[in-house]
Amino acid sequence: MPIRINHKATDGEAGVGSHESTMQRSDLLKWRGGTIAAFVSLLAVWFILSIVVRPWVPTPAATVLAMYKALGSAEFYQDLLLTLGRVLVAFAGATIIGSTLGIATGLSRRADAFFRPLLAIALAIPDPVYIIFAILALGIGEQAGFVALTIAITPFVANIVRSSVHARDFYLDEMVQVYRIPIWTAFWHNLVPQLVPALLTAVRNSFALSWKLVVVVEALGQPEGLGAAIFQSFRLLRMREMLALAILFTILMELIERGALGRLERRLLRWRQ
Amino acid sequence: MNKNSEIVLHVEDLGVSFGGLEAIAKIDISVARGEFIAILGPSGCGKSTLLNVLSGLLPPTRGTVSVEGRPMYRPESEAPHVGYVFQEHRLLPWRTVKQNLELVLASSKVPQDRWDDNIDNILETLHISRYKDSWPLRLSGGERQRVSIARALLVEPAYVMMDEPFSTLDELTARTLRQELIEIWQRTGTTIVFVTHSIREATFLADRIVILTRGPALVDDSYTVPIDRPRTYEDPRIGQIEAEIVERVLSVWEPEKK
Repeated sequence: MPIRINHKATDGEAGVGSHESTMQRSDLLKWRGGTIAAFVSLLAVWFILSIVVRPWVPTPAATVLAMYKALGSAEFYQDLLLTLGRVLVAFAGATIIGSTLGIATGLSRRADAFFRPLLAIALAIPDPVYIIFAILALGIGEQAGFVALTIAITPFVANIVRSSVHARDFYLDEMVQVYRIPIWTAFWHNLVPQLVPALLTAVRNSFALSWKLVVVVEALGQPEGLGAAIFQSFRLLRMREMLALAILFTILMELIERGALGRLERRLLRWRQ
Repeated sequence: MNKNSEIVLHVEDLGVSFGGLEAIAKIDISVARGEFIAILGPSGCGKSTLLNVLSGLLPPTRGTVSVEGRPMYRPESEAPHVGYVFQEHRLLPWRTVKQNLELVLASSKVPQDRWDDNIDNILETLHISRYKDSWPLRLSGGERQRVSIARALLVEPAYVMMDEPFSTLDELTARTLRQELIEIWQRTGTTIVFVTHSIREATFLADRIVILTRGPALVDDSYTVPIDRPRTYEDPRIGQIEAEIVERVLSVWEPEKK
């Protein structure tokens, strides 16, 4: 019996594509189901806790009402803008400094020998220590928060980027050398694109750490901002308001991360799709 | 073919050591302009080291490498341009086919006003024009290797090195590419140094086959393939010569079995 060989790759690809899209739809349905189940479980636990640990844990309904009230007040938006500004400055500072350090330590043995022990120590120190020392040294102004956050987040970013530089494709480095591609062109067109997945991970980590720590910085040393408002609610034992502010801030940060960073990721990694 | 006696690549008394370990003992090779030579050597004999030297990646410990009559290792601005088709395509996956080609052109001596025409021509020659704006990950193995060949030829190199470029492809694709490579070589007159494990591939492609010893590398024999072109796989002489070279190669690589 003659054997028929299909030389058209596109035929095979079409089949694979169709199978993949079925798989993707099935995965998406599973993911959505899982997410809904997680939220329902969370609400159930919250509801039980609100009965068991009354009055310290407010009910979901009371918290939603407090969120609605917060959304209607001008003070909330002032605090939010202030906190967002601080998050963005700390995030940008830590990402830029951390990425630069990561690339330098990844490429240079001398830089690695110097910075690696410092980064290891910096990673081991609990974040509140930086915040407390920065407030003691610089007072409760904006500088203290920025310095503390940058020092706390930079080592995470630097570590991720450094590992990615070490794990790069050295075959591509050889190709670049053989074709005598100038060093800066090679840096921007060969090295940096290889670091993009790690840089995106670093950016996500940096962003998540920034907004969590900014709230702590504001709670400990700032008179204004969402962190300060949350701490004020805690001092006055207004748990509904405290939880409402925390949830609103978390939702906003998630939206920014999934929206802006997700879009950036899709754009930068479109060649993989 | 515009082959002539002008020597493009001249390697004399080449030796390479890493610490106390000798990778290349002594290699003397001359390659004429437009010549297609194949280098046959067993695994670990120093072929990769030789290619690294010939591509400018690794300065030799001893001896000289001259390209077009001038030393290979000279100031960066005057260094010769060579093409290299690696075993894997080594394309930048985040750049389209055209962008990959432009990247190497930017560091070549080809004037920018000729880039577009040159890219179009070479893609046309290799039958991959329709993939000009595609990402490399969208292409098959054979198509990526075609782009890799296009990249090597575009920089108007003194010579092109090929390190077992078809060894990862299926036999049908590899056969087609070998045939196309011969056509391009005959049309362009490019000098090619082709490294392979396959004696049949070397016999089909090359004017001359250089046989290296088991490491440290030493040129043991040089064999001129006495078959006119065009050659076909079905030509019985290919098989006869292959058998003859196998005899010679075995006497070099495994003399104790003779």
